[in-house]
Amino acid sequence: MTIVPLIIIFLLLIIMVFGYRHLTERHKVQIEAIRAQHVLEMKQFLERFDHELKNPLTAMRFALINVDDDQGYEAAINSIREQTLRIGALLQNLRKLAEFSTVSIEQIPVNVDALLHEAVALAHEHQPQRKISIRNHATMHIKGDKYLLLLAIYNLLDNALKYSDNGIEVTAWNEYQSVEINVKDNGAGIPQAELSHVWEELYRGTDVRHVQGSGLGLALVKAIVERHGGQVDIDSAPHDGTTVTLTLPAVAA
Amino acid sequence: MTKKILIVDDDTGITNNMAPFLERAGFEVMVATNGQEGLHLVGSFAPDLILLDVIMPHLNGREVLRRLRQAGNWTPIILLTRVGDAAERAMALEEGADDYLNKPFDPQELVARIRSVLRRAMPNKPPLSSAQKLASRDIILERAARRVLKQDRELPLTPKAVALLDFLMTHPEELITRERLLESIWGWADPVGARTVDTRVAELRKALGDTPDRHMYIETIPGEGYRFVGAVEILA
Repeated sequence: MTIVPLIIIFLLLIIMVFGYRHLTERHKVQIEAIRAQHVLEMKQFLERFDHELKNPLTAMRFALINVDDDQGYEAAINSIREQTLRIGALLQNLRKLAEFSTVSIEQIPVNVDALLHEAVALAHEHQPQRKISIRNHATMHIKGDKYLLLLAIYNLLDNALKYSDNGIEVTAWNEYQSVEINVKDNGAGIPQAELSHVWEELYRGTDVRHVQGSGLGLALVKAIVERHGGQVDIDSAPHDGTTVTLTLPAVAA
Repeated sequence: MTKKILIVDDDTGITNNMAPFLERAGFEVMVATNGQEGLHLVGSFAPDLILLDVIMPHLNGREVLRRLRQAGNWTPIILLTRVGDAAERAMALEEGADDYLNKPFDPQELVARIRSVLRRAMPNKPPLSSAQKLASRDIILERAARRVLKQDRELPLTPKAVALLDFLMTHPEELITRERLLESIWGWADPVGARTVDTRVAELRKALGDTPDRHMYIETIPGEGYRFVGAVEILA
């Protein structure tokens, strides 16, 4: 009978059409969810950006009024200068972030020991009295761009110095095809609820608003590490300090 | 003689402050608020140097630059860019700009750049920065291909080292700070990068054949930066 294969083909067609419609429906829902997420992130970013600009602008408006006052003149001028630098630094960091996500990354073996020592030396330029110890067990070399890697580790050290008072430990070791580097401080720690946000652009922790910062340091670290094909992780407990771990693809030395 | 500077920028917040500042620095200044007006003033005002904003209505800065160069006008131009990505910077120089500054910049830095571009400029000749090929002693820099040849053999240099050499060779005999070298590669300068510049220069020197006691190409100015000391010429 020739009708049987025809029926089978007909049924298959029905299944395909319905299946396809079902799939496109699911697809649409997924796209919609991604779009909603993007809108939310954009809104969040703009709100934070607005906040970061509002403060220096308000400060400058007050300073401009104080310029007319003989006694307040010098302080007012210094304040305006400081605030313009603050806005400049913010924009520069945003530009870095934009550039890091597209710029080509060099793939040159970087000696971990030298990298850590250089980063610590840089951090010590600003705070020579603070103790930063290095324990390096990594023998592999990280594949990447030395400047960017140095910037990432320096940012972590800078954070650790800012948000803690005691010694800081930098440890590195081989892990399969990667090198792991962690920077540990024993500062106040970050509340659990905020941990997942710390990598976001312009995010500032609620307890540390009084400390000067752009809210872009960790976002830059994440962008750099991800462009190297690596991963970032953060672990923190209140009163017990914070540990940030970078996992970076490495090659045998 | 007082040098004449033409500022082409549509933002009056910038020009209202920049013009008197440059006048105080000893220049004669004229302002155009768009590209069209800028082109017109190049003819009547005959500036010694043009400060050109990139993003402007009607005729943007890049188009003004292109039209001037196509007409054989080699008045030195410093682009005032608002977007600073690496591709844009490279393109600006290829199209015949003499230098560029990323907004926001320091006013004193602007004056320093104006002076150095004026010093470097040769009347009615293309700047080194717009040449395709540059030569110094036995090395040849092929700028578009990003290659460096020494005695006809290609040197194994990283792209960043080639970019550094490019910047140094297009600014011969000029003291270039580490910050500025860094900015030429990345578009910004920071203390972290200043250190890595030294490593790059060391790599470059080794490849070029400079030794610590014999600097035929790159000289170190301790505590300040570097200077390209080889004579540079444009290869046709």
